[in-house]
Amino acid sequence: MEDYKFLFKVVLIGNAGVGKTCLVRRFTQGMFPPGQGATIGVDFLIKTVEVDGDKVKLQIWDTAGQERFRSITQSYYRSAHALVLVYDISSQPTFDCLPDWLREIEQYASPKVLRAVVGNKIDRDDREIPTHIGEEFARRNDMYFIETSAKEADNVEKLFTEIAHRLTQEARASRYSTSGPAAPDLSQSPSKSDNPCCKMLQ
Amino acid sequence: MDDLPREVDVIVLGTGVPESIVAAACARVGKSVLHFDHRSHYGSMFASFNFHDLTEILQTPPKPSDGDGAATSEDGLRFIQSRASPVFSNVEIEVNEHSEWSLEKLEQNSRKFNLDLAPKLLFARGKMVELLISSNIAKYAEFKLTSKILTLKGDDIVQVPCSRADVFATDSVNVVEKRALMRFITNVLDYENQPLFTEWLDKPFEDFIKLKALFLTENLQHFILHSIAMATPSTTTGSALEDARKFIRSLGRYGNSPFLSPIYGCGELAQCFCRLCAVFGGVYHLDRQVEGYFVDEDNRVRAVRSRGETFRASHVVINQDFDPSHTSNNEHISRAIVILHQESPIEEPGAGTLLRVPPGNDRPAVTVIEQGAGMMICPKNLMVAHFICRKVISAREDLKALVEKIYPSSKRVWVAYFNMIDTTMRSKPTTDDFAGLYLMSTPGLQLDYDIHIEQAEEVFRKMYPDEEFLPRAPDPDEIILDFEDGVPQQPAAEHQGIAQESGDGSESDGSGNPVAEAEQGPA
Repeated sequence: MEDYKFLFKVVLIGNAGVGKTCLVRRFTQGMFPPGQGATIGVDFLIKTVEVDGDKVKLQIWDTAGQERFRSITQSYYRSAHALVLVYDISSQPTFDCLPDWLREIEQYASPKVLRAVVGNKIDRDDREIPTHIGEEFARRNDMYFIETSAKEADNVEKLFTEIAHRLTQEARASRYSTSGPAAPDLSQSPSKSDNPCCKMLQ
Repeated sequence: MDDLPREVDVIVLGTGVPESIVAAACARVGKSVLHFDHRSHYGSMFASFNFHDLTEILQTPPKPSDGDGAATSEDGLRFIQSRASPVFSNVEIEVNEHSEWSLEKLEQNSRKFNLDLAPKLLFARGKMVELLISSNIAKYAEFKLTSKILTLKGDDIVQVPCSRADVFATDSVNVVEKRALMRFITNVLDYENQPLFTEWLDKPFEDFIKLKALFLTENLQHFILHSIAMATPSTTTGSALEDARKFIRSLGRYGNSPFLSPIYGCGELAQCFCRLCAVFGGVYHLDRQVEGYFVDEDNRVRAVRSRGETFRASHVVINQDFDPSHTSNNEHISRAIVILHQESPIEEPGAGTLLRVPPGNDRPAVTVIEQGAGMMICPKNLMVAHFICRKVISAREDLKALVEKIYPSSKRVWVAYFNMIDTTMRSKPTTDDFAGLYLMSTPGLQLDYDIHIEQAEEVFRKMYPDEEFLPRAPDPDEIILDFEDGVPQQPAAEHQGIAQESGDGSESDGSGNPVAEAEQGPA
């Protein structure tokens, strides 16, 4: 069995068509899937990265199309270590929906979850959201910010590597701290099982 | 804007457990599924709510159908209106004015609550757990073991010894009884081959236990009748032994308790199946009103009318919220949800307790499920107790005395009594009036989801007799992505998920909490 030190669940959200699936595919498989359309049967994709010598496994979950009519199951957000909120820099409406997505996160996700906001599609020349507007939104909401292009593979690696770094640092800090019980979002980090959260039912 | 498919194989209305299972099963074998709910949350009567939303949903009468978007006919099809019958009745809420947890404070902490409309426990070898494993969707939720099983005997609450370790550790059973109990348990596992049992299969279990005794003292008879077999006076020996065997077999699978519950409430379970359905292409739209159905001259349902749009389908699966026949002879169940101060913070943080109260004078058997903050269903320092029984008079009349007997007023923070409709007694899931329309059950009184899974499978088989019911979904690393046409290829689901079990478990003295073990991580 593959050996790794930490396993983190990373969850993508944002309006339909902003490129969530493309980001995941680009990062995990180095591919940019041609055409649109939901990916049948794919729940999440996995990629192992190295952080300061430790193997860290990222389990990256996609919305399965349930975002189209704002019908994402709450359970999708449960036990996520990081939430990646994606908009399309060439589409104002996808940016305007970010506060709605934040409200949804606040209702269902753990308050300790790491949050990032990503402006995707910087390869496009019909930009509607200037970088500083996105940055400002991220700063106001205390989120990590980056602009990417899944198509050109710009910053995609950097986005997920940064998330892996931050989560690993948090996990190490909590593991070695002597105070109190472990933080809830640590519950599934170190384990031999692919899916420690549901180890018992496999 | 609205790019919903106008013609699909199956339309599912309502997101309770049985209809969500059917939705998942259909999508899983490649059928196109459109899944609506008129509410803005998943779960229908199986949902869990935060504090604010629960109080709101209990006190809001169902929207009367205003006829907007209703049609008379289309393409020679007749229009039949969908009529939501009221789900809740006799809602009464009591607030403890003296508690430090004021209504305002409860509201402030609202989102820390996940309050079940239909609290249930899963037998470790029940149909729900087996289905979550066999369909490979246990990963969508997390579970903990119920830590204690209690029963009310006379005026005392006593612990039911469950595992061999419990049997030998408990004070409520003496040495002679311990042997008799162990012998009984061994015999139950093989009851079909025990002449002692087989003669009695059609007769009441209570009579059997009392007449045959089997060296079981009155003490043990009580445990077996009311906790292990959970029998009522009319339960037959055959069905009681089947239940007892499920209980005994469930012990030790994951630790020293036969029951699991999902963290964040039972409302998570319906969502697991909805997520599976979506992953396999099912299209979801919550908060979407449905006006009714179009039927042809043979009374076969051909289409659904929603927000003035027509959606065609070969099959339509609905729950009671969308019942066009407006069946009124429903049974009801009585419920109480009690928010409590946590008695002692030292106590194991809330993996949960099951208390079975045998039927008493004019009172039916009551199930009490108590859970704490460890189950992510309430804020720290609080607990939640759910009471469930068959309705006799009203929820408050049926349950108030028991609620107040178990939890004195100083412990109670907030209590809601309400009745919910129960359609589980109806014999069949198809409505008599319309072909191609399948009406799924409400949660009912049963502890686990066996009847709902049986019903979902039955409906699926009626719709698609040649397809497999929820075959194992592939893991992500088993999916070969074919980028030529952007369509992932799925390997045949060859290997079954292998249940990781904690040995025979009956003698294990582990914490009995696999989740906690997972949290500890590697040494």
